Amino acid sequence: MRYLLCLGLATVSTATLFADPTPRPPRGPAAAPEALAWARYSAQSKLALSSLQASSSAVALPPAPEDVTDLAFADFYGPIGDRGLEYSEKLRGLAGRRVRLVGYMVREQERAPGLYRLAAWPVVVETQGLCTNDDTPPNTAYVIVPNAAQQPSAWQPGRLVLTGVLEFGPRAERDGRNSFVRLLLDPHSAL
Amino acid sequence: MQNHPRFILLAATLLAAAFSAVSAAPIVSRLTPPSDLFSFKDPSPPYISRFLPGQRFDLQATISPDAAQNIAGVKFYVNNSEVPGVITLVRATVTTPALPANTLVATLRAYSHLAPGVHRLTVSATQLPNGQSVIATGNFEIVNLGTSVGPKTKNIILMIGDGMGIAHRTAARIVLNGVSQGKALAPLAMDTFPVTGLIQTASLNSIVTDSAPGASCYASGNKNNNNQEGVFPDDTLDAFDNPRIEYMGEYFARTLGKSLGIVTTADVFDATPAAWAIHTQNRGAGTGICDQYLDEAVVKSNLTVLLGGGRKWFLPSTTAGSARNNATDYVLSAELVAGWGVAAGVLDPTRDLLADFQKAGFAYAANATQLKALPATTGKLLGLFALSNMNVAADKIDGRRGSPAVVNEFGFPDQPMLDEMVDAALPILAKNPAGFVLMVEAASIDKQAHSMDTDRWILETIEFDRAIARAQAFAAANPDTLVLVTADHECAGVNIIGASTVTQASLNARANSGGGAAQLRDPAPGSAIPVVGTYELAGFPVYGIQPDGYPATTNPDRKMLIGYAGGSDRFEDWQSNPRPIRDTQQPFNATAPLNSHPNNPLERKTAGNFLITGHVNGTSAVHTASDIPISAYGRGAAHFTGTMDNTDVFFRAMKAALVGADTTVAER
Repeated sequence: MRYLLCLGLATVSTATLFADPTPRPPRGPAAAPEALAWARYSAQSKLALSSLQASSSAVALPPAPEDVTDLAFADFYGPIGDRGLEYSEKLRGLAGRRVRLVGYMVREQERAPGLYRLAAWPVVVETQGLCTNDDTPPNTAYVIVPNAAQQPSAWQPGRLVLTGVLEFGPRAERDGRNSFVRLLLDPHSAL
Repeated sequence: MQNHPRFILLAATLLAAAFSAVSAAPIVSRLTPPSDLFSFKDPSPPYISRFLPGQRFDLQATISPDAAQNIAGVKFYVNNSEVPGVITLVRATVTTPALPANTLVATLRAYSHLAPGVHRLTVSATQLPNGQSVIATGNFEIVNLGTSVGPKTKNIILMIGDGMGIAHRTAARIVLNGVSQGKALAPLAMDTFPVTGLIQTASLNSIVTDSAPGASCYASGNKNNNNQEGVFPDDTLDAFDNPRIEYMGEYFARTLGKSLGIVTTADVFDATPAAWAIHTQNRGAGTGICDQYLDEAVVKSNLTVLLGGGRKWFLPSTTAGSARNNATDYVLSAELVAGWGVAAGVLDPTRDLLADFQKAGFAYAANATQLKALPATTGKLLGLFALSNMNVAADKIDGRRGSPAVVNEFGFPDQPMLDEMVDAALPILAKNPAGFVLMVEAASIDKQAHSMDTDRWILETIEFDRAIARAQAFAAANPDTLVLVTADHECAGVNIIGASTVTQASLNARANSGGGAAQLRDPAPGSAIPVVGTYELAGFPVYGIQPDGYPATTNPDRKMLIGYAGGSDRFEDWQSNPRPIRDTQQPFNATAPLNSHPNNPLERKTAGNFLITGHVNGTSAVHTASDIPISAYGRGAAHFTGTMDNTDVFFRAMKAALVGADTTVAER
């Protein structure tokens, strides 16, 4: 995973590895190096996150066709208030138009034919297990597959680049959930 | 056995009918409450179903007629006396196992019995037109609470660390307080409780329980099937019609006017919180469960405080983010409504449940700031701090320390910590002069142990201990309060195997080396010391604690290492995961597409190439059947010593509250 790479400290040499173990630091929860340790941890976390975002956006996509607009999951809704979510102006403006969405097919145990869910990152939903529930992000999109077979689409790993017509608004889906943002997949799409 | 004249007459009639016919009689395939007498013809203890004197529960039997016959008269008898009341017959709808055509489920609602002792439950049924009959017998026990031995417990606070076994507690203590020359430098709050016991956790249908029966045993005193809460299993598909058992909160509200509070870091529809107020065979029926908090629990349990995640069930389905739908909603049958005196419910996905709570007098807090700002006059409180499960302590604390990437990504940057939720709940509940029951759940000890995310469940346990300290302080100031700290089961077969023998920098480099076990477990070339230090090589790891009460870092040099006996396959590099697995909600501040969250433990930490083959199939660790500790503080604490069944916790707490607490052992 990319985020692991950024946790690595480039300055550590192979020679350092073989030199272990090094002497132990002084014991005690209130030892002075705490602040230093926290600063280092915090810096590592920030480095990890910034690296993530950089690496994500650095993956080049071919330019979108002329009549297709790129839409990001983060652009679906406005900020969360004390109640529900509000559709963003961008989303409202793209309703009925062709958009391109890049995400991951949600891997789930119970699926219906003709549709699947697309999330901003890989998500597994184990509704048939114990102590699990459906925690997909609310900005997960429903992908509606034209001329679908009777069987649900096979789960596809990795990042999917999909184009289709954007639709929004509440609707009960055949899988028993509510959908709010839908991509009516282009007929020529493989998935 | 004392034979009642009416019963002798009945038995004689049934016997005559049996001998007068050639073909088989109807069959009783299930008699509820469950008993070994019915299932195995075994009249000896242990008695599977036990109740308080006067505690309500449903009687039910599944009866199959012969071909071309129909079940007619059904009667229940307790100790050979016919039980008065309405018996409703509905068709069995389960398909596994397949039952004969015309199989009926007969139910008599809200029965109770006052006399302590073991009682015989008999059901009789006749089929028409041939008139053949069947009788079947089981038993149940009404527990003798004994006589008063001391003052009564007024308030009960049950703290459930979901999935928290002994090793979770030990790990939290080592990280939080450290160990020096063999001695813990300080105890956890739960370590200071004067009484500790062990709990056996099996459910009605498995040695390994899940969280639904693992929690409802404490609230009802009875075993349930996995996935089911507050009900016995039945032979219908309806998620909300099962035979019910009256909960502690319902019993207290009905008989003594006490209040109920539910506080969790999970979605409030989750198994552990719901198992204190909702009766269902489907722990996933979120719309119905959350509707019933208001429709039923507020009325029948005096539900006064409900705090956690799960806002998605409270928003109308027309609002983006709502999860409300018909498939997970509830409608109760007329006989159940009449028998228990509860609301019938309606399929209403567009219901604004949040507004309905407010109309019922609940103040609503949407974040930590609002929770802290509640006026002292607040009488009832609903707090919904996330759409689904709340973020875990590690990510909330990172947010408060200026690294809010994860909580921002989830969309809820201002979530309260569990101790802050307890601080908000207790003053409201304490306003009831009759007392209260408060269940506090640290839900994600379990969820993060499932994910084998070591540092996240350790911080979750530390967060839980801080909440325990708040409950303990309340009980210190209010001596008629009992605080119990336990779990519902152990999760993941967690144990502390030792500590890393190398620095964090070295561990990082090893993780990126791709060298597998040779780099991340074994001695480095030329060295005799393995990376995974066992016994004296583990020494005493030091984490360092910040003023906010949480570790300065979860990646110190020579950090403590954890093994998972209940684990699935995983890659391990011993380092903290920058992101949680899968438990994802709101990525609004992220630039998409963002592929940061690993799917499962096989998709993170892969760079180190150190694959640990798990014992179980799938992608997450499982619950285990090991006993779990219980620690008790305050009025009635003495009742919780020794090794006990999980249902014993209910009866021991109720004895303290209803009859009186044993105060011969130090309570605090």
